[in-house]
Amino acid sequence: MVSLNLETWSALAPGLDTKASWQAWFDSSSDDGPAETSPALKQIPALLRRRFTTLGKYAAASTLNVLAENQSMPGIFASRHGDTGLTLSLLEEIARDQPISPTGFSLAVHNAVAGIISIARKDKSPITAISAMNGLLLQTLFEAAAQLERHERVFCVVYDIPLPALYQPYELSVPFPLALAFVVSRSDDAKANLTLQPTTQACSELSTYQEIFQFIKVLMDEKGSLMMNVNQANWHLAVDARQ
Amino acid sequence: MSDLNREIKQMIIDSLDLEDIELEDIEDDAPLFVDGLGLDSIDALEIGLALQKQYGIKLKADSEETRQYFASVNALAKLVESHRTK
Repeated sequence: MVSLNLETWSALAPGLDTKASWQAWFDSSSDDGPAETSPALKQIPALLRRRFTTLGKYAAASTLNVLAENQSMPGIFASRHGDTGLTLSLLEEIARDQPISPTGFSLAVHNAVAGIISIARKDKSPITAISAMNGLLLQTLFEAAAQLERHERVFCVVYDIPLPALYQPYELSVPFPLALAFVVSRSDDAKANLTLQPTTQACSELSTYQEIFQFIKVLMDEKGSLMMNVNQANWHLAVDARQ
Repeated sequence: MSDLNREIKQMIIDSLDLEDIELEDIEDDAPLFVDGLGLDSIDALEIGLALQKQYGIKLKADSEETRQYFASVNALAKLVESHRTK
């Protein structure tokens, strides 16, 4: 069994930045996010802010929502696809025999978003960037549990944007930009307890993104559970708010 | 502001996504990097690429000469002019 203490969380998507807006979205069970808008990120100086694409803006905005200004702690950045649109635009330049943008190249690596956020926050704590084929959320929670062996608290941000149209026939992706940030700690005073348990109980296969949406739903309700599957192993995740 | 300086400033703004900066905000003689406009090493590479695309100028990344050309908009304008008369 893996036990984690949840201190705070924040979920962001276009037009979905409050509990009420998320609740309305869950109730409508719509696949469409509202109109495309990106977080303004006014807290980050313009010269750094310009380095964020849509993906980075959502990851940064949700991270800033769960961390106080001078709070310093290790971070786990988890994204299934990273900035695939940016990578594709670089590949297209290469195919046209054009030189590629050095800025684009430097931002297309998987830990670029984490790097810019750490520069903006002036936080020199360790950073881990992960990408998992399946079970992105589970892998993130396992990584967090491992890091809590060494650190008092860590923050996680799970984030993705839709794949470019070219790749969509081959692989699932989020219906709209999505970032979920949360802080987990060793503290027993934390807001809620997360418990992960392996189970032999049958589990309907949720996509990585359905798992994230379900987790957000359970976090909003402050109580509940979901089943997740990774590498043919089923896990039961329970969320329990402390009184 | 000469036409060439104006053109170079626009090139810098466009190639570096300086969305909040106007032509008038960039001084002809102010340093572009660290102080002044506050650009960094990735921006230097990006300007190098823009010079290549727009004016056909190829620079050596680590030469002292290149360093001097990147000092200010005026210095970049001199580089472009000298390349045109070649």
